[in-house]
Amino acid sequence: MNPHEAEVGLSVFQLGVSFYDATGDRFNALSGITAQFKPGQITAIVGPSGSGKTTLLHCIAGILVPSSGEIRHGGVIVSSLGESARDAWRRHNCGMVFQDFRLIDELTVLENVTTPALFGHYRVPSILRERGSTLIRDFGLLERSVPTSRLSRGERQRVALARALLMDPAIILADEPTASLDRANAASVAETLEGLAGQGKAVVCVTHDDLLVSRAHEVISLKAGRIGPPAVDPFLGLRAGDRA
Amino acid sequence: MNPWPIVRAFLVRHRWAALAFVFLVAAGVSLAVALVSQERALRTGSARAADRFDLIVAAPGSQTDVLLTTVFLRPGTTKLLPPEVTARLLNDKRAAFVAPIGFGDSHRGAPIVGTTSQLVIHLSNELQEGRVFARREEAVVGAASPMKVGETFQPMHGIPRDGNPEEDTDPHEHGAMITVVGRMKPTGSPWDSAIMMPVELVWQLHSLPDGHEEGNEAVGPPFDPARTPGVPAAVVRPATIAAAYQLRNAYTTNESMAFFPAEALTRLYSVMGDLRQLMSLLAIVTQALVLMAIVMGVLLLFRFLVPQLITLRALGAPRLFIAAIAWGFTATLVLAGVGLGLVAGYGLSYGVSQWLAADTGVELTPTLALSEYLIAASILATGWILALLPAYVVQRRSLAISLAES
Repeated sequence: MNPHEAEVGLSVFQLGVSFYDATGDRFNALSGITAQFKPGQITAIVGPSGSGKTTLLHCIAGILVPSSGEIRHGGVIVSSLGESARDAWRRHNCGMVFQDFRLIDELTVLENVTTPALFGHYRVPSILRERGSTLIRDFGLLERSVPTSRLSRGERQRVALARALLMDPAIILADEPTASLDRANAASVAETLEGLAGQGKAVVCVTHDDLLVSRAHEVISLKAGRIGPPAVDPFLGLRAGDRA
Repeated sequence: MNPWPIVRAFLVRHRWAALAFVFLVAAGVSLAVALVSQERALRTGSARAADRFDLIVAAPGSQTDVLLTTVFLRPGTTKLLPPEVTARLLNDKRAAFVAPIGFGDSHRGAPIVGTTSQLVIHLSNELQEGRVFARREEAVVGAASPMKVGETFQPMHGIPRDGNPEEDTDPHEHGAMITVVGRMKPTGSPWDSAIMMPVELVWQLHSLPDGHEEGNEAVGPPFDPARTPGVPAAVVRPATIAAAYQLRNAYTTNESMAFFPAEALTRLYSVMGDLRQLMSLLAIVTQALVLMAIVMGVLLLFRFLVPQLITLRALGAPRLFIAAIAWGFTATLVLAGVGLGLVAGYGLSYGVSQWLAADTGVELTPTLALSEYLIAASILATGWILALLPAYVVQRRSLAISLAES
């Protein structure tokens, strides 16, 4: 990886995703998407339902292979990797956060946070266990040995964030991370994501939440699978991407 | 890679569905195991019960009927051996002993068998308690009889069906008062519930010549040929193996039949072979039902698991890890079902044995043998192979589509 690539981090170039609908007609979910997701920045992907936000996030995560274009990360062309290699790339480079947390509620807080460590180890290595404990503490979760089913929604999303950070990924991919939270918890999660960007991580959020958009360094507005005009803050009249 | 914490969590999450699946598999396995185990217990139990009856001589007819009335003491009507044949047999020197058997009386539902002390000693080896009868008003009870040594009773004419004297056509008590003087050791046969008393008393109570000169109150051989009545059957202990075959030939005539109970049982088993085949067929059908249940259960459970497996894949879990969870989840349930089924199958077989033993008096000892373990192992192996199905399907699904669906 050359210094320029390291600075650029993750980028997509002329990305296109096509599906065939039930009638057999081709349908473009994404067309000609070119964007950079820089380390140290929050990028918000916004747009109406069906505009291709989640499809773009899945492409970035290597979950979905684009029909055209390229996804690069630090010299690796992610879009040309095989499925196993993409899984491994995602495991080591991406932390995933979902709207509905997707925790395993029968496991404890610590077990949930350290779940990704089981993918490659029979026992969670002590270093990852300690890192999990540290993350739990940092996120203000007091109990680490209770099942996550006993936690509030805000606490559960913080557990999901801690799980996403266990392997210290360079990229955080969040799909509507505040959508199912109340205002206070949403603000807390937005603050956390801002802090992660501050640590040099590339944070990419699919969101409808103005609060999260207002904290984004870049906003990608999608409409019918294409990048539309920059989003404008309706109250401040500032382009989110214009923020320092 | 360690999928077990996740498997454990999924088992807890879907515990009710998992339990239903386990019980379904266990029910099928237990039925198959119990059928095979019970069939063997019946064969070995009946063979053991007949083991000490070397040769039986009776009037010509059905060997099976005589076997059932003589060895298994089932109520039935048998013709009597002609008195002259009985007399000749009772004094045949080729036999170590010949024990006449007289049926027809009972006490509180227990059959009374008139015979000689030699047969009692032969069946019991040594007595468990007391001594053999030495006088006509004495009796020895089987090991399972509720009667105690020293207790007295009046024999009743007739053997009530299902233990209910009212169902007998002509129930009435004989006048004699009999004292129990000994108790046999367990034989594992219906004789454990029976009451044995001198055959002379049975003859006497039925107004027949009592086998001895008039006024002679002796019990046991030698019998007076002139005063020997016909008997339903006689148990013969041949002096030698050669004598056994000689006796069988000698008494296989127009007037009598002689047979080895083991032979008759073997013939009975061959007739019952159809039943055995039916049971085997039932066992196979049961196994097929179990396997169908596994397939259906696997597919149903798989629907519960997919969202969670997809999430793990999205987090970067390798395909092998996902496959291991999907397989491990189902395989654990199949293992639990088969294990529980083996235990329940033994329990079921044991319960049926107890019930049959109470009904027939034949001690049945159910066991789990290689064939039952093979049934369980074959279901387990098939279940574990079928458990690969969700593992395979989950890998075939598009991760993006599955994520969108879930």
